[in-house]
Amino acid sequence: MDHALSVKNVYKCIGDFELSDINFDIRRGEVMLLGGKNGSGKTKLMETISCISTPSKGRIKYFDNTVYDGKIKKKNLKHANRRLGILLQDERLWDSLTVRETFDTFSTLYGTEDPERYYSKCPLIKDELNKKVGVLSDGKKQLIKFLLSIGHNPDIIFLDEPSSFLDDRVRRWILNKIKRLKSAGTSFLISINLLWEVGEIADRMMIIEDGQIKNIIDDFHDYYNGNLLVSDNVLNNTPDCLSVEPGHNTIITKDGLDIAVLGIGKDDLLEVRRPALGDFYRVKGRDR
Amino acid sequence: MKRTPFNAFMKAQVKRRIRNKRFLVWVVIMPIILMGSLHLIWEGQGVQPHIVVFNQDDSNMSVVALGILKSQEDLEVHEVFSLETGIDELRKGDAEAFVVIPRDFGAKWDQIGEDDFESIVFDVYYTAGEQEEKLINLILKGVVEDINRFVEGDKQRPVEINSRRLSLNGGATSDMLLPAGIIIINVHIGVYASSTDISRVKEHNLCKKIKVGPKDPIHPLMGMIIIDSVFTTVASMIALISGMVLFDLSISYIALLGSILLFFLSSILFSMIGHVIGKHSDAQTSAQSIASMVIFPLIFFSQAFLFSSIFPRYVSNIATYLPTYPLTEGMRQLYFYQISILGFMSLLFICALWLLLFFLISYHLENKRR
Repeated sequence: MDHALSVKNVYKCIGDFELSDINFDIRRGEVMLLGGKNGSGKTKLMETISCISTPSKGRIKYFDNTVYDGKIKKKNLKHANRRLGILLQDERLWDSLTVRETFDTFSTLYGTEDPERYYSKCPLIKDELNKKVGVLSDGKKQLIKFLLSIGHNPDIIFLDEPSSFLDDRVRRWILNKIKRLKSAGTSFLISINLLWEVGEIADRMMIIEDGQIKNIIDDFHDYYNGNLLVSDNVLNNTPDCLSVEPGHNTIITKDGLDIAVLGIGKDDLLEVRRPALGDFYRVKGRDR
Repeated sequence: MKRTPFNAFMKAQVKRRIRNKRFLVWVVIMPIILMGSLHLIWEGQGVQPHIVVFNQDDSNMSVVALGILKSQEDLEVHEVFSLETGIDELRKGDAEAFVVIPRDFGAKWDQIGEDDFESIVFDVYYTAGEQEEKLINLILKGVVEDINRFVEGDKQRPVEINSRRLSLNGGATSDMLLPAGIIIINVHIGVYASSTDISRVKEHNLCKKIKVGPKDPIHPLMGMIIIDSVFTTVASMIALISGMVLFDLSISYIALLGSILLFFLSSILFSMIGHVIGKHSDAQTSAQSIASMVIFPLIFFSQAFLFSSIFPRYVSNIATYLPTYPLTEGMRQLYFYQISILGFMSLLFICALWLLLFFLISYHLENKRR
């Protein structure tokens, strides 16, 4: 398998918190969502696998280049960093610089000769270029940070809660951008606190709890689009269902329509709604 | 200009600093205010010390001594009529010294013979330090010499005096105050501005952003440090020029050029120290407190305010090895004493060594991963 990122048995202890036995990989052109409750370790996981903080042990490979194998391999890490884009949570730009100056300054970190390419294809920022970052809305600032993380054409991008503060228009633009980059072969690891439209294009979802990977849902797409795996218990208590194939696949209601979006509500009753992030926490993990 | 992280962050830092009005006021106004305040101390030194005198003796000679004491140009003498009143004035800070003309002053004078004489003893009470004591003793010796001039023949008492009158408004004070003012500015702006800025960058996760890029993180941060050092140098130059005007001091062009070099090197050094503090702090507020804790001893032991002789020997030895030493000593040598090229170069060399040390620490911290 052609992997953009491969993480094996990674451990990291930060104060009282420990990331333990982290094993996963991200394929090329794949969008992996990272879900988990607050404080479950999503940000720490991103910082550790990007080697902002050094893991305690394990192995991390980017595109077949080992960047950590008991110790940081500086040359390989530098090479990997060139291909990595990252949007950190709580990142704050300098308020006194204009948007254009911000791109001019931060684009040099990746040796980009043409900072215009960071923003030229984004119509939402076109009128803001000469404004100071400090006067922009939080949503616009988040958009700038997103553009900064993708501007150098990275092959793998980590986005830590990118939808914060975004209105529908900006969120939709970012979603389309991710979609285009994905189809061009860029991989994504996107941490989320709420399941927003990015679910439409996600391939897999990783659930983290107390610093450990609880589950990786390989058929996330099916779940998200209504083909929810249904337990026998649910089926027995759902008289309105006309036909169901136990174990997986589509549930067809009496009126003959596929239920496009489903979730499991209280008392195991089916609810017609798009699944929320919390629904995925209840998906039973499989032995990996 | 080539687009490198160093150049880009340098450019960004100039814009950030220029657009920050509070910082500009700090850089431009603070040196002027500080030098103005220090000038007040300097002017205050010209005011006559206030001395109270209690004459316990009723002899003619004591009256003469009192008269001569009162006629001293450098002193403002005020007579009191009890020991308690004098001590009370001293305690309240109304007088710098309290002199008691002893009861047997006239009698002792009369007893002085050619071969055998007894010393005249003034009781002097003072609250200030060693220098005040020396000053008062010197003036009293001058008074005794004046009395000798007044009396005739074998009643003259031989008095050995090194210098009869002490010029209180001389160069010795500006020698101390001017470098002191500049060092406050240089250390304060250098350490404080850099530490708060770096801690803010860290707090805003920009350090991580810089670190995760393929370029060495020290480059953009050095760009920021260099610009902060330029602003610190400008502030130090404003302090120097204000000082030259206020203290009526003229220095040569060579000394001025030497100052710019010295200020710039020291500014980078103190900004580096600030960088180390900023990197170690979790938040801006903790960076500010650590910076204050570092700035105080650096300035206090820099020998800028107090000469090393006032400290115990081991403390003054330590002071010589502080990062502030080349700056203090360099300024004294450049403005007040003769300095050789070799001497100046050796001070710059010490500064460069400190700089190298802190650069290595900064480099290590920037590349260190938690």
